[in-house]
Amino acid sequence: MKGYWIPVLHSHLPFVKHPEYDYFLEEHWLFEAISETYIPLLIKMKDMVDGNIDFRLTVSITPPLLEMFSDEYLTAQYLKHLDKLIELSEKEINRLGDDRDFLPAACFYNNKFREIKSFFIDFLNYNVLNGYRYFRDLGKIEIITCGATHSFLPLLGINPRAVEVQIKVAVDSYNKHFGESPEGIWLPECAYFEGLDGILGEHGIRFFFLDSHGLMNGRPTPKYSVYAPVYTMNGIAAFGRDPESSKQVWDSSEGYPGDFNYRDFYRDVGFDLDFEYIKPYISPDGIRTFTGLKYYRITGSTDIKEPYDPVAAHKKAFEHALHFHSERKKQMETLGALMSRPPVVVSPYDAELFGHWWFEGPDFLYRLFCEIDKNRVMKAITPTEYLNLHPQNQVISPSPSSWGYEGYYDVWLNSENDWIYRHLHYMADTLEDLANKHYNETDLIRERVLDQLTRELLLAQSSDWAFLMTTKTAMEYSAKRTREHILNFNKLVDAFRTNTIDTAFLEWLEYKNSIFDELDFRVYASKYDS
Amino acid sequence: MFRSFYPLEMEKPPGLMMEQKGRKESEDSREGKCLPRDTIVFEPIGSDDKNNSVFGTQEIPKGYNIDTIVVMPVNADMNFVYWEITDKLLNSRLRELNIGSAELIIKISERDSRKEVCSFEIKERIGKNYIKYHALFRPLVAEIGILKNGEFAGLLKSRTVPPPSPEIAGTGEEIWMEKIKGLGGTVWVSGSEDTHDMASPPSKTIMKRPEQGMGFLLPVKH
Repeated sequence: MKGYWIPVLHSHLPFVKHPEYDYFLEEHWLFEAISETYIPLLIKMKDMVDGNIDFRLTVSITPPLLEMFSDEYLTAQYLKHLDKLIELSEKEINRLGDDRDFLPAACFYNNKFREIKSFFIDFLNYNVLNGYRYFRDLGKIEIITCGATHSFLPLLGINPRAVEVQIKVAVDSYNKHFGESPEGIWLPECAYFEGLDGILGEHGIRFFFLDSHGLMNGRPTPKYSVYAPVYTMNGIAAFGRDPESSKQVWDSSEGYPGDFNYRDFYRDVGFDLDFEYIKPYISPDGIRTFTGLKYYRITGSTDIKEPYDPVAAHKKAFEHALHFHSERKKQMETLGALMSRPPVVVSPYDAELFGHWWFEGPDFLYRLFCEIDKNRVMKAITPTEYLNLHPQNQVISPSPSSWGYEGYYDVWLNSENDWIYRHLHYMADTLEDLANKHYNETDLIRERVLDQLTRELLLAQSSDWAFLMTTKTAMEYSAKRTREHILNFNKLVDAFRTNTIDTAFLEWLEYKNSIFDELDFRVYASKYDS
Repeated sequence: MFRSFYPLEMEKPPGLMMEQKGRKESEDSREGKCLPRDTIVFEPIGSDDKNNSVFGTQEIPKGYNIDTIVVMPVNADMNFVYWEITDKLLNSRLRELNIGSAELIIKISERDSRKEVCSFEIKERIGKNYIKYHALFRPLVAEIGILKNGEFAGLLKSRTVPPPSPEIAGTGEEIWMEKIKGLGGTVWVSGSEDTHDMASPPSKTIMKRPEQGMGFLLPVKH
């Protein structure tokens, strides 16, 4: 055995729920991710268990995702979405008749959507979380947590309570959904600042992950680079991201997902087909959207695309799995010669890369685990298993870092999004003050207002909004969401202070922004911990 | 309208992914730097409002009628500062100093060394700026004040966050720790992994306690 491999899939979407609309485009982020990533990955896990293929995956599931998976309204909407997809794929089979180029793909999608629906209902019992629980109970996956609403923690630190609450609520949410406390955390955006390890330790977190430079720029430089975890001075283990295995998958020019045989993400019947024909399956306001039916392969840097061939694509995924396996073997042999213990290679990816962006990604993972199981030259392992095997590690002070562009905080703090922070900081200060003053509040309505204030603040703190403002592609929605939560917060504070609470407004917010229904505002009080 | 989650990558050629999240097509054209006072680039709050038209007439407040100044790191070479100062605080300080009016100054310095980084005049009570300075994440402190007879009289100082972590002083000596779950203990080990002495707690000379903040996880011998 040459070494250990820790694959980490970070699963996250911001909390998006718009019951005020029959159709809301941004809710489809969740539906697409369930159909294209989460369920296909779970199906592959089941295939491995059924085929007696050993595997280990570390999966972070963020609290907003946990809450959305368990939301009845969103579940009903997802089933409607799935039925529409099945209907469209059937319509496509009829339309394509004996078209040799595209009929096989239409049939492929029809089978796939039916399989997903069947799996969702029969195996998952209408909740994706049941799948994760199942494989966790088998010891195949380790589920870790994340910030309560995936906030960029280094930029909330002006109010330490804000950071503590993000961790505390995340741990509570994990407990609620999984019946135990998390051992580890995926820090939102992999963002670390000095002092964060102490807060993690206070909430029972045993390990977290850093981008490579967060470890390598630490003091002192770690003896084993990123190929063994370290402990911070507060005794929390930090695993560093391996740049080599990341590059093989993520790299914009050399990464596997860009292979010409793979499915082209952009060519979708939602944009390609006649408007009147496709109208029932796109946004009701006439805006063309992705449907999930994509008939072309990447082909190359050309607009003239060739038909997608699922068989050729799957063959390529197998080749890439063999290549990845062989590269890790070489890497571990090289590293092993320099170390007095087997190296551990940590490969974190956004889960949504697998299946959503890279359609063949789940198949790649399946093939890779088959290779690992067959050859036994490396061992897939979870962080907890590794730490139990190797409890002794070097102590270093990690460096502030993130996995964003340039490696620090630039993506979440720049001229496009810096306006949000004065509001987020003011809201956190205000809530802490209110929580302290009204800790013993007994009026039910006033308690509910304070609880909803906490939800509005947590939702405003999501790092996704700042991220999307930077990328400028969802600026309108992300700015709107931020402003909405700021306005809701201020309106509720005014009503609370003047005792003019509009219960209809409160009830609406409780229904719409319903994340963490068990939340207690007192978590924001400084005396809460004592 | 945007088309899917994390749409950044969608602007790339088909099938190609980004290795780092949040990369932009072109570098940010941010111009704020810590420059001499007369050349400072000042960007008052509210200039982003053009991006926020979707919310119709419901505007978020530009400020909260509070006194605050905050410095946050962006990267090793850049910090961001925003502030809000009320008439109440300003007027009371002016009365104390017995002056009618004065220009407002923001002074930035390193928290630990107290070395002054830069200062600049501000015209607005609510504003923001970027400070270009190679701080390497060493905490900076910002202070708003006024000049009286060439002397800086402080009005408001930024909060010092985050609290410092315990850290290892740069002796080059390796420290190892063993944590065994369920046994409730941590063993500190000095020296290299191969030559460790399990009975030895870390040398006090190679560890230092922060001035404030978390403190140590106390070593426990098995």
